[in-house]
Amino acid sequence: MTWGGWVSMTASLAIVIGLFGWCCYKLVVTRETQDADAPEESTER
Amino acid sequence: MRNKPRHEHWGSQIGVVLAVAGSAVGLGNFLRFPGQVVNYGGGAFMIPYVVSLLLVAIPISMSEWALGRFAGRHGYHSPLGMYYVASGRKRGWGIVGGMSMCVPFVIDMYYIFVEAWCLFYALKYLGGMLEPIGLGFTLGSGDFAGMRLGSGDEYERFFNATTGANQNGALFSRAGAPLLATTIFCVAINFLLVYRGVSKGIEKFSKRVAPLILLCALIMIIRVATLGNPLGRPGQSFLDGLGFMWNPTRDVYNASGEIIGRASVWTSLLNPETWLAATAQIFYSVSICICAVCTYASYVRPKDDIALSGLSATATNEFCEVVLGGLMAIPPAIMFLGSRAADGFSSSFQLGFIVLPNVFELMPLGQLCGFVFFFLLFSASVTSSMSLVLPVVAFFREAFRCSRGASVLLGAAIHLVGAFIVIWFTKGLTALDTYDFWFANFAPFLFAIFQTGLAAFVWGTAKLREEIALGSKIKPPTFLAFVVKYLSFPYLVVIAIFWASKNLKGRVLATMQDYVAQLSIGFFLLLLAFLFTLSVVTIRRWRAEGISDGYGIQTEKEDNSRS
Repeated sequence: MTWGGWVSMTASLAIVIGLFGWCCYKLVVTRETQDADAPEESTER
Repeated sequence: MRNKPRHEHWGSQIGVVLAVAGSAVGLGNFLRFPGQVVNYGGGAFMIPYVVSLLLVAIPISMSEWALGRFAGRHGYHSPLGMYYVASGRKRGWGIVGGMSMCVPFVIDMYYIFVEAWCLFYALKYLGGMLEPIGLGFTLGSGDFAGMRLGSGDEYERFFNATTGANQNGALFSRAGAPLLATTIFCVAINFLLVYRGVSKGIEKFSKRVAPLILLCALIMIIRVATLGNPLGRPGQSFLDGLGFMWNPTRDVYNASGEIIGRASVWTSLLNPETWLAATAQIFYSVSICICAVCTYASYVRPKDDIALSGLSATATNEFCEVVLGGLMAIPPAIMFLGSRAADGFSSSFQLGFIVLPNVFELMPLGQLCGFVFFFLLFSASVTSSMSLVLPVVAFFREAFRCSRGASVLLGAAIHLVGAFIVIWFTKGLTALDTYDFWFANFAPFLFAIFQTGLAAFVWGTAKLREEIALGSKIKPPTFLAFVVKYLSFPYLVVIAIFWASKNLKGRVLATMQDYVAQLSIGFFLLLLAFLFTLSVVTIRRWRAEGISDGYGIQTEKEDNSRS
C-alpha cells in the first residue's frame, strides 16, 4: 500500500464515518423531541 | 365505489431512516462499488465520487424526500399522484409520474431473482454443500472432480448451472427446482411484508435486519483483517489487498501483460469515464429516482423532520458502501487469488458469485464466512426489493381505490408475468441483463431529469426550500434548492447525455439482434402502455370528481387555500 493509497483510503473513510457519526449523534440528540411527537399513533389497517 | 383508506405513517424517525437506508443498501454497495474503485483509478476514483455525492446524491435525494412528503400530506403515495400534485395538477406531469412506475416495477422483476441466488448460496453454505465434493451432488452431474482448485472454473460452472445461464427453461427442470422454489419464496416474503403495511411490515423488518447486516459485515471484515498473509506469498497480504483497491497510482499493462507505464492520479481524473462511472455508481447506490425514496417519504408525518432523516439515510448507505464494501470484498480476493482475481472485478455477479466463493474455499472458516456473506447480501437485497414493491402497491391503491390486499395481489400477479421472462430466458442471463440495463441504468437517469426538473423548475425552489425546512431538526443549508436547480440538474443532464452517447447505441443494436432482449422490451412497452392508460384514466377521474386528494378527503378549494 503506497502513501497515496493510505491518504485516499483514510480521507474517504474519514468523510463517510464523520458524516455517519454526525447524523447518528443528531438522531440521538433529537430523539426526545421526536418521541414527543410520537403519540399520534400509526393508523394503518 | 370509493374505498377510503386511512393514512399510514412510519412509527419512528429511526424506523424511516433504516427503511430508506435499507432500500439503498444492496448488492451495489458490497459488490459493484469495490469493483468500480479498482477499475477506475483506486483512490483517485473517490474524488469524483465525493463530488457526485455532494452535487447529485444529497441534493436530489433531499428534493425527492421533499416531493414525497408534500405528496403524502395531500394523500398521494405513488409517483403518479406526487408528480400530479407537485406540478399544480398538470395532466402531463401526472402521466410522466405514472410512467416512471415502470422503473420499480421492472427492477423488482429481476432483482428478486438475484435475491433468490443470494439466499440459495447462503443455504448451500449453511448446509455444507458448496464444497468441491458437493458441487457434483448439487448439480447431479458429478463431473466436477479433478478441476483446478481456485481457478474459478468450478464456481463459474456451478453459477451457470444454478442460475440456468446455460439454457433457457433450466429452472423449470428438476435440477432448477430448488432455485425456482427459493425465488417464489422471495417474491412471497416481499409482497407479504408490504401487505403488512409501512409500520408493521417494512419498518419492523428494517429495524431487525439493519443490525444484522452490520453484524454480518463486521464479522467478515474482522475475519479478513486478521488473516495476515494466509498463503505466505509476496504481494498477497491484507495491506496489499487494500493497496490494490485504494492506491491512486498503478501500473499499466499491455495486451501481453507487460508493464508499459504507470498511471497517475491525473490520468484517472482527466478521464471523463471516471466521472461518469463515479456518478453512475452514486446514482445506483443511493437509489435516487427509482420511486422508492419518494414513496417512503410520503408516509412521513406532515411535520416530521425530513432533512436529518434524508441525510442520515444517505450517510448510512455511504457508510455501508465505502467502509464495509471497501474493506470486505477486494482484499480477501487479492490475498487468496492474487492479482489474477482482478479479472472478475468488473462484474458484480462475477465478483460475488464466482471469485468470492473461490476465496471462501481457501479461507479458514470459509464455509461460515460464505454463509455470513451471502446472508448479508440476501438481507440487504430484501430491504431494497420491498422498497420497490411499495410504490407499485401504492400506485394500484390510488388508481383503483382498492384495498391494500387487492393491490398486493394485482402487483404480485403482474410481477410474476414479467419475472417469468427473466426466470425462463436464463441462457446467458440475457433477459436479466436487458432489464438491468434499461431499468436500473437508463430509465432512472431519464426520470431523474424529469423529477429534478419538476422539483426545481415547476414546483419551484421556494417551495422546495420551505418543504425541506418544515419540521427540520437541523438547519438545512439555504443554498440546497439553488444547488438542485443550478448544479445538480445541469450536471445530471450532461452526465446523462454523455452516458447515453457512450452506451446507448451499442445497447440498442444488441437489443435489436437478440429475440429474448426484444421480448423483454416488448413486455416493457406493454407495461408502459398499461401504465399510461391507467394514469390517464386515474387523472381523468380525479378531475371529474373535482377532488385534489388521493383518497378524496379534501376538496380542491380546501387544498388551494392550504397551499
